Amino acid sequence: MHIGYKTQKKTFDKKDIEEIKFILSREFIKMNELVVTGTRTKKIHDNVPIATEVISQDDINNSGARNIADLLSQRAGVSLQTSVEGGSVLNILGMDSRYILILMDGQPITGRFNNRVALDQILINRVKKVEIVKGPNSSLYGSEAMAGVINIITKDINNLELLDISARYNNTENKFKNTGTNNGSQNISINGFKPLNKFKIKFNADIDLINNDKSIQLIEIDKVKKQTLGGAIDWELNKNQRLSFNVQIYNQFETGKSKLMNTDTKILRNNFSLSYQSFTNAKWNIEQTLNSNNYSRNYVQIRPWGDLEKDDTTNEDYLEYEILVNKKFGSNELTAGIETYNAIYKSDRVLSGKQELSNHSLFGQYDINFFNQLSTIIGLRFDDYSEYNSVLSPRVGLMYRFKENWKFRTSWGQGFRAPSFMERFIDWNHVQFNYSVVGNSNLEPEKSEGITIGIEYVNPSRYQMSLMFYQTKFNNLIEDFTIQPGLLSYQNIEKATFSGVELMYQLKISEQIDSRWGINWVNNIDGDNKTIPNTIPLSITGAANYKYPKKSINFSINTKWVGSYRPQEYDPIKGLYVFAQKKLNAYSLIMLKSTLKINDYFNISMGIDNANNYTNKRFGPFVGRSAYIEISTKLTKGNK
Amino acid sequence: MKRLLFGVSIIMMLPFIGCDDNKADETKNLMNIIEVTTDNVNDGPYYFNFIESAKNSASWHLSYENLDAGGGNYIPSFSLSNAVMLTIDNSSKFEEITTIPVTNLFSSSNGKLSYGGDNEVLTYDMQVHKISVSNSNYIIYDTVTYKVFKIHFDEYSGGVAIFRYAELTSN
Repeated sequence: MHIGYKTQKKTFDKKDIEEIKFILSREFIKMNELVVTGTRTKKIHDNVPIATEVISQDDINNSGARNIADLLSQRAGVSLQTSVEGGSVLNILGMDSRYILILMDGQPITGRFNNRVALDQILINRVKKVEIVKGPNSSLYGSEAMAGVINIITKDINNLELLDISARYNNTENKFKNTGTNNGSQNISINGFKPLNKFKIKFNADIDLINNDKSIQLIEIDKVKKQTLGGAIDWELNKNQRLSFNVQIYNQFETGKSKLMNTDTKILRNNFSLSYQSFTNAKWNIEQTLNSNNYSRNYVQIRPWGDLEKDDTTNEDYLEYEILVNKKFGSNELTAGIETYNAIYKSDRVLSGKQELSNHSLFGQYDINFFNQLSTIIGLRFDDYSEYNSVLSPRVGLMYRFKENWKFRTSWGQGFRAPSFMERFIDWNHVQFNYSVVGNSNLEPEKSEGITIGIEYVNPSRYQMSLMFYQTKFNNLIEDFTIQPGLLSYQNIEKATFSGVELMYQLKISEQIDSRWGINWVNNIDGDNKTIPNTIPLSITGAANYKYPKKSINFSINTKWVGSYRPQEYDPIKGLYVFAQKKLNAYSLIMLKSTLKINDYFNISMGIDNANNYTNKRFGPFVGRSAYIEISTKLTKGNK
Repeated sequence: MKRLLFGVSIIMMLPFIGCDDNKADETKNLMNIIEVTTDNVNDGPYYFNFIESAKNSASWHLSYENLDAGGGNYIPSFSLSNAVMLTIDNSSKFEEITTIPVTNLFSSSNGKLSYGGDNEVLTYDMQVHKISVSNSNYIIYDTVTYKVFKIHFDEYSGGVAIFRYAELTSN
């Protein structure tokens, strides 16, 4: 069986055959694809009891997105706002991204700004796919997996071209006037691998330059330079043992100049991981991983006349060891693990300038297949923190197949989010408005309890339809409050219930045309049964892809419609976030992309983002119509 | 032939285009636009006298100070003296305003420039915690000296603001 391709059967007479060639065609619905996020072990998508949405490589290629923030914002139920405080604020199913655990190859991403991972810092070129699991998942992942998990999976050695180079120029001037290459953004990306006896070596380099572009002007920055350099070595020690070393270094430099203030921001993120995997004849699979992440961010404000206004530095060091054990018992499977980590946070904005936290956790999960139709999963995780109470997180999932192509899935689980260093220890004065924020060291983890119920119909060659209901109840939510005028802090008080229905549909209209649709309805209410600000009740996404019969031209259209909603805004007088006075009207976004395959080595792509030029100066999207051109070359084993 | 005519017409137009630019430059020079960078409002209130073209806390037209917005919050805000009347001209670019508006357009300036006022200079974006300056052209009339000034606020950052002004005369 070849994953992602249609199975073919042919009968031959042995006497007359010297060579047999099969040309496989791709499955439209790739239910045989391996997914990992819902269970933390590689499983065929079709067999996972936990509903997992996959943004595939084809979806990524057709999206025209430059980074993960761009890509996710095209999904139904996901909204994205660019904050001038830095980074992208993602809402998934109406929830702030701090309640969604975001992983890169199954590992947490260090370095947050305002408690959120900056998704615009994760460039798309080396991403193979994105897996999204909805509902509480702390039984496997611990903190932050309160409402879901997004796992960004990079291309592995088997998926990379031998050498893959792409260059892209993007211009956000909506009239497509030529502003020269000094303005707009330019990206060059190189990915490749080299097999060398028992070693497999892969490398990646990515440079993203943004100059005088609308996407950064709104945050009063003139230039942004993002650089990623990384590599990995896979060493097959023998048939049963494998050693992997992975390093990724990310740098970001931002500069802004004006008559009154010059700013410099330097972000450095290093990730090193060493993984040892062994398999035994008794079907034990043991994987040990040592993961070290360092993050630093330095922000300097200097007046043009030389006065230093601000010099803020934040450092975060994260060291984690984990052992993951997997054992198959016939059709059943046990997954268990131990994780221990130590995190050190240094910042001019936290009490004493330095804080430390350690965690030890133990988790186990048993996947039971009673017969072909029914599979269940039971999991439990125990987290013991050095600074606050321990947390127990259970989860149960069930999948039942009926008739030929129908599946019913349901899961129940509990999740939590440990309070951040900033929420517990911030000691900061807002210079402009003279209010202070102090942390609350007595904060306890926020908790959630959620259920998902879904039904799915798949015809692998033609269409797939899934309908899912989900509800997550939150307790102990951390919110800011006023201790006294001008003095703010945090407390565990808030309750909320997030409910929704998601309908997803994929249809292969013909050999040349396929389409994908998603409808997301959300009802998020607080403890007083009032709608939570920023809840987008209804959003619809649609995509269509046309392949010219000779397959040398591909045309994609991605659309998103966002229903009317009441956004949230900060009232400086009350010192609270409140509903904006007016509802925002419904709006739609259209993204177009076409790719021409020039020959086996070169592709050229052109696209228009936000083609209908919709902007909202206060709540986003902030950048209107923009256009890009991309040239890519691929040297593969076949065409070298 | 068409190309030749087109080329000749372009060459003939060049002097006119050039004259337009010169006129604009001359206007700017005649106007004597002055740029002022304020002190940091967090260090204390700032008062400016347009006639003296200098800071003057005793006799001033424009004040810049932190306004008590309640809840312990202070918001930087500009305001005008009670002796000053105000009108707004957004129909022209700041540099192109050369004449005094008709008198009945001016009204009392009380509170109009300050936080929450009809024509607030510094706007506080509640969504993104950002203070930005209005792009309006403010024209003030000093009821004591009968002098008229046009003012434009260009930038605000971390308690400091930049504004430009020039006196408008009836000539």
